[in-house]
Amino acid sequence: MKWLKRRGGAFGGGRERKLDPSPDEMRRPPLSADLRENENRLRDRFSHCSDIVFRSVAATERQTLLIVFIDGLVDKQMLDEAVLKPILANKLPEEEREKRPAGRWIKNEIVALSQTRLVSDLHEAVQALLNSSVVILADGETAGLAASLSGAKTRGIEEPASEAVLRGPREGFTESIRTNTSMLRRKIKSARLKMESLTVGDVTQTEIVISYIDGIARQSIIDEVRERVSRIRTDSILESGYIEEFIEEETYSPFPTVQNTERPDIVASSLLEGKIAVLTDGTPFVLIVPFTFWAGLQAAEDYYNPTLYSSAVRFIRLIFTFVSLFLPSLFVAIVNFHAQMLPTSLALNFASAREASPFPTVFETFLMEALFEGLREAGIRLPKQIGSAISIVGALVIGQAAVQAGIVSAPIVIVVAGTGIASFTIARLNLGQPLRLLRFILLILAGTLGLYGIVLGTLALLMHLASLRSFGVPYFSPLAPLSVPGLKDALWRSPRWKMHVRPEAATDQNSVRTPKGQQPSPKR
Amino acid sequence: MKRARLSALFFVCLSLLPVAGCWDNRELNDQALQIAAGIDLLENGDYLLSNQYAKSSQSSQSDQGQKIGFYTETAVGRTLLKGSSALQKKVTRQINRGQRLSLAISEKMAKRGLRDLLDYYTRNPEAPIRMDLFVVKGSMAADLLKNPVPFGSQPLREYYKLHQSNFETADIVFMNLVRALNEPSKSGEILPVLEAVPAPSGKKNGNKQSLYRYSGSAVMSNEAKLVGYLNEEETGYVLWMLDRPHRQALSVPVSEERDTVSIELRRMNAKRSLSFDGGVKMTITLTGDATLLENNSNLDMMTPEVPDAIKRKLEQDTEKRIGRLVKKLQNEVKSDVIHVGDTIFRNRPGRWRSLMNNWDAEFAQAKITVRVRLKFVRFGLTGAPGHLRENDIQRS
Repeated sequence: MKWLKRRGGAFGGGRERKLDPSPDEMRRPPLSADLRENENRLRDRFSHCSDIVFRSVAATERQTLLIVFIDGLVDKQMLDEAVLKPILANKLPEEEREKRPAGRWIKNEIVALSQTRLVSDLHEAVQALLNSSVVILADGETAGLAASLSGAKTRGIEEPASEAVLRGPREGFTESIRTNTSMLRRKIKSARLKMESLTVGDVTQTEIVISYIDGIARQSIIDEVRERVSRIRTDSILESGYIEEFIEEETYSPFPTVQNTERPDIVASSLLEGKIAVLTDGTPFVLIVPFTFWAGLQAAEDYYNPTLYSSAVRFIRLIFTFVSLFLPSLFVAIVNFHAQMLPTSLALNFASAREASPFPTVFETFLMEALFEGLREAGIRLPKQIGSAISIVGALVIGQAAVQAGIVSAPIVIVVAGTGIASFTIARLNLGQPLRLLRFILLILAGTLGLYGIVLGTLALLMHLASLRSFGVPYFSPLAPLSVPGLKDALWRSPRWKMHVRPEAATDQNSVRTPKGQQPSPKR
Repeated sequence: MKRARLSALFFVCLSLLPVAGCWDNRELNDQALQIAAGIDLLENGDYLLSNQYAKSSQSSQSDQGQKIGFYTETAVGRTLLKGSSALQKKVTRQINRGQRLSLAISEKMAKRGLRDLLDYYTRNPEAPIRMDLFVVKGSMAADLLKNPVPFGSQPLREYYKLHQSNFETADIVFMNLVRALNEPSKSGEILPVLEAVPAPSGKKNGNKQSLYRYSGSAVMSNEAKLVGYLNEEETGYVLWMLDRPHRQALSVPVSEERDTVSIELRRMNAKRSLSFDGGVKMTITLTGDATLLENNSNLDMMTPEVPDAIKRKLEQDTEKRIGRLVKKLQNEVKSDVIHVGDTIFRNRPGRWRSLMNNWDAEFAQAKITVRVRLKFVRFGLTGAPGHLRENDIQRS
């Protein structure tokens, strides 16, 4: 290990080094008073960019204004209405110009836009342009006016396809971060809902918003998230998955420690529990931390449906989580190693079904599971037009045809199909993924060591789960470490009036959310 | 680095898995599932071992003809293990004893004693000890195992159900015997009996009638030897006295003719009290709720005196019958199957120590009183049989 340490000394230091400042940062020349020069420098910066538009307008007889924007990013109609028209209509007399500099004059009076700021150097101007602003430069001014006029086409608000509900809000996040923050703001009308903005990605300059409710979220977790996100040094952030990999706890754990969702109601309820959301521009998937195992079994609908029903459904989900993880391996272990555990008739039926099977049970199960996973993957990739074809083929592959062809025995088809159904009951898709993965490992263990192998595997799994943390919160809480009040919303779902306090995992202040004594007791 | 080491270790462990070679991995279609075993004693003292294996009925499912879902193989051996090995040489698949439900002992074998057999059946870790154990009367155990039954495809699973419905819970019989033998209370046990029914004349063996029937129980001594038989009625009384769950019906004649009243008992209970003034004295109080099953007389149950009278009569009659049974156990069969010794051992261990060495004689002399206390809870809405005319009904 010594050589490793030495290597760490030699190369580890390199990680601390700051990245080389980009050329843009190095050269921050202020805007010149000469409009022609400014234009040339901007044209130089945006060479070979066909989507940049320069528009010269004569503000007065002597002074010209240059309006620069990127086509497609700005709302051109608004630009005409709010910028061009007033300028063209209100040509000022010469004497006025002497009194007031044109830049401030535009900003103060003419440009009927709400979000404006002054840019004083070239770099700032470029950034403003890229962030869908219109930059207005005036002859003889060393400052320009950047007016935010974002009008890029975005997708409308739709129901999220990956997280459909029967009851509950049907809106989902979109790719535009402003729309997303506004959806949150509409749900939580409080100034305590904070939205900290950062820009990550040297090239993509992606806007990231860290959102939390001040006074509910735990300060240490906020600091931790802020620290981890701002530490990211990379060229691009195209999806929140990029950030997830940078900020998650254990990269090589199969279990996710960061939750993602497309649903504003899930984010809002998580924020109210003291969790922290990380919104990324360009993707509807919002990250939520900290994430615990039991939160993965909670669906948004649990909170909208009656408590008894929700608790029952949650219980079913829990059972099917175990089924999804253990059914194939248990089947193989019991049939191959412990046939005496089966009821006699069942053992007999299995035996007669297996009579013509050419392969060992483990192999058959493995084959069918792999086929099923393949089918599932194909189902996602497939264009909609040939989707029905694959479902017919799939029904044949994982069905009677496989049995009749004598490749697998009928009980295995049932096992694989049951596992497939079970894996879709898990509320959070990203929690289903590790279970799918571990199912195969447990299957190998079961095929070689029987129930003993399953127990070994489960033990290792539990040890890992119990030691895993998500932003300092134990992954298995509130079950391990046990917190009895937390159970109200983990294994079952208590009525709203009974959940007096927030789950203590992510919050340590203002913990009362529903005062006691609100159980409805109408007079008879 | 730590992670690198850990993952290296993990992969080493993973690659060890196939090395394990899957010793115990056996496919179901490579095994013969043993449903039951039968033991006969041959003239020369060898065991004739017979095993019934479940066979998947699908492979022999040729639409017409009875589905025969079993196969019986026999082998002879000096000891049970040798017999088993001989069996395995004939059976093409590996025998799996994990599904064994029952053990059939021939009468001759039972008379010689089961002590030599029990170890083989308790020691094998694969085979369940929760199994039915019964004595085959009037035929060889091997013949019983070869014989198909009308219901179901594995006959011994059907006989298991027969015991379940007539005798007590079938799967604890074997353990009950082992327990009775290994405790210091010198009790005997009763085992269910399957008796060969003589084939009806004029018909061939292949008919669809059952050839064996449940016929009460065999009394085993504390040496695990067969010492006598009890009929179904007596078996019921013994089970009642032992407070074991079973079905119990009682009938009582209520007039000189063939008029009888029959009841079924629910919530049966047995309480024992002991005293030792001048020998062992025990009172067993049997209680139960009576449900009227059959009323062949013209008595009207709706008249309050009638059920009371019938109840008294039933109690007295049953007490008399059980009294006779107890005498039979004490003097004729001489086996403490009603666990008097066990009761003393558990309640007065000090007293038991002085009694245990001479228990056979003490048991024969013990004064055992049986009291029956019934309670009529249900006789339906028709007091007298419904077909009787008003005039024919007797109201007192």
